[in-house]
Amino acid sequence: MADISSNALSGLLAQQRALATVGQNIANATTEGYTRQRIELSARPPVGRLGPGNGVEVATVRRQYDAFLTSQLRETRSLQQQLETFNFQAGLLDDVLADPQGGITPALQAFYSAVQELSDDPASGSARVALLNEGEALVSRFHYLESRMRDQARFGNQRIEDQVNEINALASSLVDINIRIQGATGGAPAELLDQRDQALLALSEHVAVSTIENANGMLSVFIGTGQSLVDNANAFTLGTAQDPRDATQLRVVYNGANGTGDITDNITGGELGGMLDYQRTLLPEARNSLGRVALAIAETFNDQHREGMDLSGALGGDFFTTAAPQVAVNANNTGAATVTGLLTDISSVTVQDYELTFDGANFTLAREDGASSVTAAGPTLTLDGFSLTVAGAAAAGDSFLVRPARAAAQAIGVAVSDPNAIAAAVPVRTEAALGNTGSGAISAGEVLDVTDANLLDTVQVRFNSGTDFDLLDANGAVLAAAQPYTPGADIDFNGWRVDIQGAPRAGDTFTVRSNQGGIADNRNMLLLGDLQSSGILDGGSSTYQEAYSTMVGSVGAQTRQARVNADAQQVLFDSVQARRDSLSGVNLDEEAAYLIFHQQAYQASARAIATADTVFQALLSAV
Amino acid sequence: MVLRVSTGQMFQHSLQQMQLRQVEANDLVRKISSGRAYLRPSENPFVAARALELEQVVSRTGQFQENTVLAEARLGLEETILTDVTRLLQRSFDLAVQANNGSLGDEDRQAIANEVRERFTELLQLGNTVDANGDYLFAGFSGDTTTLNARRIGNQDFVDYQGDQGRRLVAIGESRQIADGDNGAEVFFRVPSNSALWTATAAANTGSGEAAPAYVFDPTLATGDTYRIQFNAGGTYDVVNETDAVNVAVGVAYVDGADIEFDGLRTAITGAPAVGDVWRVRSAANQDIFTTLNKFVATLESSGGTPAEQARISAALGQSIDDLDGAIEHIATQRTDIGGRLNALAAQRDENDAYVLQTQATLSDLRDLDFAEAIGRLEQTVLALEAAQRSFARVQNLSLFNFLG
Repeated sequence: MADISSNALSGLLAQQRALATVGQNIANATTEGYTRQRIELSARPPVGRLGPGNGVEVATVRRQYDAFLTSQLRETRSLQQQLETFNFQAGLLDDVLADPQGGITPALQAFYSAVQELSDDPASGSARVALLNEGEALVSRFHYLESRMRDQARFGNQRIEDQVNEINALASSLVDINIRIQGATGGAPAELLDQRDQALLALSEHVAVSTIENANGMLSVFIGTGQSLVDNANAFTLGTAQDPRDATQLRVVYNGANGTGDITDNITGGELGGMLDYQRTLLPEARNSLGRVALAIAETFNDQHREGMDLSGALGGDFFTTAAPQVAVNANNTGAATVTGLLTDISSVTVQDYELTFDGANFTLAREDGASSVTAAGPTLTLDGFSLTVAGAAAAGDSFLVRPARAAAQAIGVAVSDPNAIAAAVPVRTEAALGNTGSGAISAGEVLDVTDANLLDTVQVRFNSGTDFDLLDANGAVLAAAQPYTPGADIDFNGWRVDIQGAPRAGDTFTVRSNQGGIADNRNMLLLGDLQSSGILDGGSSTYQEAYSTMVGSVGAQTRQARVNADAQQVLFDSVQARRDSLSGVNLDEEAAYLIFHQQAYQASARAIATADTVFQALLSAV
Repeated sequence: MVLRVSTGQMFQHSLQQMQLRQVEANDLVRKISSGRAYLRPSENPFVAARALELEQVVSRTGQFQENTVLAEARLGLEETILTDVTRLLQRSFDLAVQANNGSLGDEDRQAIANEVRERFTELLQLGNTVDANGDYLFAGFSGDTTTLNARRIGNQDFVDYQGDQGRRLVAIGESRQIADGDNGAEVFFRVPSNSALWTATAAANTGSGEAAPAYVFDPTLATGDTYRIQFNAGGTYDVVNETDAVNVAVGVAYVDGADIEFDGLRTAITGAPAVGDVWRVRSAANQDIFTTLNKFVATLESSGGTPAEQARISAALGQSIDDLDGAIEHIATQRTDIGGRLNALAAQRDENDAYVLQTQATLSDLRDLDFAEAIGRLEQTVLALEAAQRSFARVQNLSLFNFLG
């Protein structure tokens, strides 16, 4: 009799526990990271060999949990967050370049239309003012884009600091959980383990981690190449420090048990990994590319403009202001050397960064991709279209970060303020004497060396016969006698070049003179206009526009790549999440079914006690 | 295959589906309202880069079109001026033919001379034409320099060319340039003539003397030799035939601005030549149109009283007729050249138009939205969104708890 009631009682208690577990599951149906629990019952065996057994007991409350799925979830989450962060940042840059009216292209076109219009009417004051205005509009586009990218870099640093702070906070909360788990008696409560998994997942969103569960139930967490972030009850912190190579960049440092170290290059995954990745790949490349386009426009336009003559008869100056290659001194340098950069050949300038290092005897200038380098004792090293000159004494180990084109997008400006100072003309003009009897004709003349002091002197080419000529100055004094005449051959003198065609006769003269007063001359404007469609960059294969388009295309392609990767990783994460949820997540219908199931069992146990009571009453009344 | 699904999962999944469709629909709406097939370069980096380059082609070619219009205007103006020049020269030619008639007296010739003088002034004005921008049309690069300056030394009229020999080119296509005008030296001064003379001032002259351009006034005496006018001490000069090394005149007293005549040639010198100053007169290839007219006028105005004088006039008028004929021919050549350039401009403009059209078509293919396709996709997306919403509502209503109690 006692058997039936005690067994039924154990059933009542067990079903109560089961119903409580179902209740816990239902209550946590929407709790993030909750692992559903299921009660496992086992039958109590009889005391002797024979007998009905001793009822039921709760064997365990099982967490429906798979450690492998959980760690996979963290890994995929970490990578997904890294790619998503990169994608998000790249998307911002992509959006800046997306507006067809907002980029460099329309401003560049308007500027060159103004160049052409001035070449149609070189003396026109309004065309000259229009060119200066379009020049200002063009440089302001460069300034705008560069400032947007500079802001991105600054906000990026801010985000890196935020990430580091959050990682530190999560590490210390993991330590708390560790301590509580160790303090719990009779095994860790399921809810604490869920909390720990949630904290780890949150940590993975910031940075990739690996974990080891220790024998005492505590967890050790590692980042980078095995730097311990959480070690049992201790947390180590991360920090940020200014990059000694480049004061505008942040490095991530690890404050470990054995001191502080830079672990930036070892960090992968999570938002931190994504930010670091973006800050040192796509963003600097885009900024260098933009700078290079600005530099190319400024340098080539200036070079040609200086070869011209302005409305007042003066030789042209620089049209644009520009910037020399940017050289950043490493903060850890111990020597006193200073380095100045000089652009030598715009067609060879790349969008890469360079590093100049000193080993005590020689300087080595190397491109960051390792594709080119030069080593010399100094003081001047030339590579990829620029040269560096070292002054002062460098110490072994000193280094300098060099960005040949970076500063130009910010530094470009219009240097000319007087519309009449636009050099639309070529400084020399030529003429054939009206009394010439031969058929000789002289070319319009071009400038080879605008720095020649005698460039603007009047020089007469006087033929002694059909086969040779003298060069005379304005007073008839011979500058060069009896030069052989070859029709169409270049005659180079005083920094200019002309050629004479046809058959001049003895006594025929041709004059090369200063083009002062040549206000209707547009020859230099035509040459300036040609720059728009000339191959200038990348060894002469890219126009300004092509170089800019390549930059837009490259940012677009890398953004697209990041998006595709992030999407793919999201799918992977979703599938791992689905597997984990299908194992560990709560299904309310299922819980409802269990609710009925256990309720019925509970009712049956109650009925069994009632039956025992009836049997007992029957026995009593029989007595 | 997963055997169970959690309630949260079902909720999340439905939610995600709806959000995804909403993002798609939103993108499509933005594309349809902007007409752009891609909103960001990353959607199609190749198209983004290529479109920027094609835009430059369109803009640059459009600018070339504007240049051709301006060049056409300038060449059109020059053509108009040269038409007037031709008419004027033709009239002078007719007058020369009319004058070369033995029955005309001095007074008749003077009347003709008066008309030619008017033509001369008219030609001078045409040569000093200013274009739409206010630049002298025929001055070369020296756009603000008065092209032609008429002067007189003694009885001798002549015209200085004050422009330069620059010739402006305009860009009308990629690496295609065309001259939008001609300088006055080419148009008015380099006119081939059989009787042309050239008066050269020696570079070493130190005095202030200046010579008028010499011309043949008596073809019956002209030799074609080179002469030297050389100043001596005491205000006299010698004329030496350098070709034959013969003195033509020795110790002639210098009178400022007086005609200097020898072997059928005539010039005049003004100012104060220094001792040792030299001018050379030699035959040349070209004679400017103004000298041609001046010589014609001088011939008309000289008296034809004697048979010898009449023979001289007749021979000189013969030369004028030849020169004027040559000048008409020369201007005609210039006009043909301008016509050729105008044709080239028109052809280039058609070519540019076609290029712009073709580039814009490519650009549109690359960049513009296919509306039919986009609207079709929007319909689909909206349908899918509705389906997701319906199934969400349906599935969320299903719960075993509804049947309990």
